[in-house]
Amino acid sequence: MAPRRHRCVRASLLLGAALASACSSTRPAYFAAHLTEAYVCGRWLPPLVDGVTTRAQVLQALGRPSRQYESGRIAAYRLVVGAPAVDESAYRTQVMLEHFEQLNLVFTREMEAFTPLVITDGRDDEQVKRIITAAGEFHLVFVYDGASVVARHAIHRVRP
Amino acid sequence: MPAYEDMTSRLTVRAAVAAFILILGCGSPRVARVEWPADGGPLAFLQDRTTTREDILLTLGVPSGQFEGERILTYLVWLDAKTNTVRVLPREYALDGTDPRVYALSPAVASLVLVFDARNVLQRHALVAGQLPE
Amino acid sequence: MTGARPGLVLVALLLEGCVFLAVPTPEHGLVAGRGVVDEALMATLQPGVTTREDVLLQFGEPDATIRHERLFVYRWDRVQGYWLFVAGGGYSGVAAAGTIPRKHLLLLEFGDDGTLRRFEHSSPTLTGQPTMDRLLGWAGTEAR
Repeated sequence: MAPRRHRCVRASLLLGAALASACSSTRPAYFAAHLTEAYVCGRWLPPLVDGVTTRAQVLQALGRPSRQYESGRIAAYRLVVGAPAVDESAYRTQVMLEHFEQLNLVFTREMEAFTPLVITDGRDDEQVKRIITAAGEFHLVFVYDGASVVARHAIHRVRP
Repeated sequence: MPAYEDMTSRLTVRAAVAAFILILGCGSPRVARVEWPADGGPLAFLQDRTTTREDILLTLGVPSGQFEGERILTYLVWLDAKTNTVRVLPREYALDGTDPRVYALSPAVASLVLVFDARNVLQRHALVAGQLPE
Repeated sequence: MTGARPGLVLVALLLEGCVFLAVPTPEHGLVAGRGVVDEALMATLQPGVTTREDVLLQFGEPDATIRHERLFVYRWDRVQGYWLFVAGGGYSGVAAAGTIPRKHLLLLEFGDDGTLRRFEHSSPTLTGQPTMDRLLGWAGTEAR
């Protein structure tokens, strides 16, 4: 049988690996359940009501759209959501140090730090980095009428 | 519809298994237009001379590519025959990434190409994927 | 089907228990890219006739687009051989093996009217230029 010290180290490594595995497999499931279209709308967008919400309100909330079509009649936003600067190793260390039963609280606090970014240049290095590290991505499409009021709109969760 | 992480892990597994089989030479996907699914399904709403660009953008979201202004739009899609669903993929997640300047699209991803006329109505469309030889 | 390139021969390097083998094979399989663009599909390309729209509908979204849609690149890699490395000594050893890929590029240039001006199917050698360098070099040459 291995010496006691080696058994303790091995047990610690196994426990750490189990915790990391549980954390890494729990995080996507948590975000999939909570990072929804309703969450994004409620947190970063004005109430979206066809026939009521104006283009100015959308521009104020989201800024310049990712793409525009038909002379601006249709505006499409590619919105990624996540922490402004993601340090995956620091995140995993923090999660492992937290009490296991408080994981939900950790993820909730992480979501509170999320900021949205509208992708306007798919070749910009910083924007690509945000795309890759984002916790979620949503596509929003707005169709405006002649009075610059939202006539139709849709929001799709692309990921998680 | 499958969760994104489920989809990406299945995409990875599917691509890895396909790659293993393909490297052995048991089959090589060849780029070709495909009809999927034959009896309609999630892409059945695409009707030439009827569907508008507005309808397509509202249904599918932001395209991965556009050409000749906005006349031609392309989407990268993941097709799941088992659940009869189509998932739009951001381009960054549809790449093999073997060369950071010229990415190679994954064989598990299909390309939906949509051509519009001057009235913003769908003129013709195609689904292009790597097909295993019969 | 192209055979093994001259020079890529069976090599056995015997050095103090190390063996390296490179075995050429006829091209097969797919190691990167959406799919093989076969000769039949390439035969549909007609300079002066085929349009950018035709290409997109037949080939799908390109792997890369540069110079404001004037240049499209489709890329796929196939297997042209296998390598094997074995090193051993005493009671230990290590072995590794892998495929030797061959990169294929289909380069297309379009004119201002969206019509195909020229295209080229390129298969750089193992010691050839990186993909983007080759593309930019090809794009810089005049159309014949």
